[in-house]
Amino acid sequence: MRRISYYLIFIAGLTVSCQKNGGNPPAPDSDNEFVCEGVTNTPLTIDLPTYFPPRSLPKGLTEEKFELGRHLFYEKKLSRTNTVSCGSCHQQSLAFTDGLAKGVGLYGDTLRRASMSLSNLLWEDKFFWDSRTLSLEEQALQPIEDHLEMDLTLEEAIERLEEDSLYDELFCKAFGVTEYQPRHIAEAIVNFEIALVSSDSKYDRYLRGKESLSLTEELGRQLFVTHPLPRSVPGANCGDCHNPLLTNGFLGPNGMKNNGLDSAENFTDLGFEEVTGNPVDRAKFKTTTLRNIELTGPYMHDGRFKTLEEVMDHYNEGLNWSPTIDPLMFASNNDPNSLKLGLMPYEIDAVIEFLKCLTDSSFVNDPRFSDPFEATVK
Amino acid sequence: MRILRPSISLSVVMFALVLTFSCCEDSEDPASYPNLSIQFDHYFNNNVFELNKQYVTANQDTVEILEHKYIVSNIVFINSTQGIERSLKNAYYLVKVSLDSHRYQLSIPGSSTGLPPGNWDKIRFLIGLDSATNFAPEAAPKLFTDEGMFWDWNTGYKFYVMEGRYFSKDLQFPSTGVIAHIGDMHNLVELEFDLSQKGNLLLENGKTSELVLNVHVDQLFVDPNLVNLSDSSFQQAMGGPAAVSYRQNYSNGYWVLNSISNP
Ligand code: HEC
Ligand code: HEC
Repeated sequence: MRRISYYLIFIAGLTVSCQKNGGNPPAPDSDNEFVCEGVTNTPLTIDLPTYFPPRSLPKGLTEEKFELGRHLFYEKKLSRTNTVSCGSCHQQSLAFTDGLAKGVGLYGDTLRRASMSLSNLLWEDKFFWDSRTLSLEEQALQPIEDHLEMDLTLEEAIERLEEDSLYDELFCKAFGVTEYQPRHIAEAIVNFEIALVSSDSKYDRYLRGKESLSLTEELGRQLFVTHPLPRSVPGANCGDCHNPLLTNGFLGPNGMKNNGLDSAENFTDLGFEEVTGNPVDRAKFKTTTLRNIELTGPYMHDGRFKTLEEVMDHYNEGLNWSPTIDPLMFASNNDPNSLKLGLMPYEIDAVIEFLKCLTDSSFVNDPRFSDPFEATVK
Repeated sequence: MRILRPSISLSVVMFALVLTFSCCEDSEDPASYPNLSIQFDHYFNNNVFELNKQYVTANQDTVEILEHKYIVSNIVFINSTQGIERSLKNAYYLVKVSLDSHRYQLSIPGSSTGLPPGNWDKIRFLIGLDSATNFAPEAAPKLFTDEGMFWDWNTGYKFYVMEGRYFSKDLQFPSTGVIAHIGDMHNLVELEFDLSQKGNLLLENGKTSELVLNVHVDQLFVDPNLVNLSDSSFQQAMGGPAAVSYRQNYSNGYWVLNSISNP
């Protein structure tokens, strides 16, 4: 009986309130306890492009967990000040970065490092610039608890969600529970993150044989994948470190590299060494994805470069020797009399034109990945 | 704190490959077929080879290797007295020295179309890929895409990768890179091992046999070609004559049969 009346009120509430808050159930009045009817498992379909490295999807991905995860990703209540969500530092229009050199936390503090683009995370096996976290589940809760980023304990986070009836429904459908735990939050966010597949850039269409590149873009592509040989074969040598399929960053131990940003006396961030404790890993950072790179500046772990031109200047000219610099940064020169890459200006332009082919506008405009709270304020 | 990095990602790669390329979807019980483990034990100047460690080459050059890996494919089992050859189809492996071990264990699990039971006195395989596989018609490469072995659409794959540093006081900086990325069909190497000197390889249903190969990484720098690393062409060998020299060196006494253990 009570259940029926709840639903009547719920439906009535929906009809009345939908213009205002887009179908969010009304706050229950204290007499009406939400009753969970059980989990709904609509399998989440994610297309894994055939030319990406083979991966299998984790078990148990559902539309309902995705939808919950999407809400949590954009939920500002998950920060102490109610002002910051994951989506503040990972904005869809910027391929889930924030446009800042370094992230800014909820109290306005500048974080140590730049925010990172989120796409094709199924193909990544380590997270953060220093790869300190090896699973997305583990990663998903860290920003919430981080004192500079969102600054809530997980108990507080759950209390806040429990006060919002919207989440009764969402957690119920996703997990069949009304009393939820941190692991539910993590799993839902991971569901959302795994669905963030970017595979519709011009380069993807090229790989699928559906579109050809312009002459300049094709030159850029060839330079990108080619290791130069002085005098004979021009190359920009990017593909030795950045997976030439550009599906994701690099995997394996060679994914962590020192690309010569600083000489040893200027290291301020030890990067991977902070994780391994091993000096051979000093100032090595994750070779990040270059997907949507046009949208994700400023560049590098500390956002030191504002434009792709500055990035190219670094690779072309700005070689800083240190004991851990990757050998690929040296043994790659187009001019035999110099240690520098030494590309011609038109070759630099071509590489940049090619990098722009990695912009996936359907990804950054996909309504499924957008902020559900914003979408309803019209 | 140390983390176990390479072995995890490698096993994922190998697992995925086995999944993709082994014929059968229904789960076969490997226990009813022969299984083989080929162990690649890497050495430098007869010491256990380690990444990120300095070694002296035949030319007295000081090097440190950060990455060492190669493709093994088209494994063929030969019984020369009976004139039988059986090859493993669609089996491509990446053998790789990890930070944790000089030993790479290539495990070939049993399957109905896999390892041929029998008594084999020779084994042959490629360091690299046959041209049909190297130049797959699809736009995008299929093998080892996580490991950066794919080079480009004209060259196909890198068959052999060594990346390291060369130290010398004659350089502008204390060290520079030394890179050997060897690919191209003319650098394909076929190795054949006479197993009879160690008592033939027996592959029996339901049993696991083991083959141990010693890999002499120092041979990369000598025999037949003494590599002088102060010559900058040897610092980046990506095709061209330096790549050929390196390839000739590793075609010669690099992989040596050590032992066989039969079930
Ligand atoms: C205050 C800004 C901020 C907030 C809020 C934030 N992040 Fe981040 N995110 C960052 C920064 C900065 C990094 C890189 C940090 C580092 O490497 O030390 C990062 C890295 C990541 C990565 C690693 C990506 C990779 O490729 O390695 C993931 C995944 C991620 N964030 C997800 C989330 C999720 C999920 C949330 C919400 C629960 C969230 N972030 C909230 C700033 C933020
Ligand atoms: C030796 C390996 C190596 C080579 C070669 C290399 N990169 Fe990188 N790249 C890295 C690493 C590592 C990072 C992250 C460095 C950091 O932030 O400290 C990076 C970062 C970048 C970034 C910034 C990514 C971001 O999210 O901010 C861009 C853009 C980039 N590389 C483009 C290129 C291009 C173009 C080339 C070829 C001209 C190239 N890289 C060659 C290793 C390499």
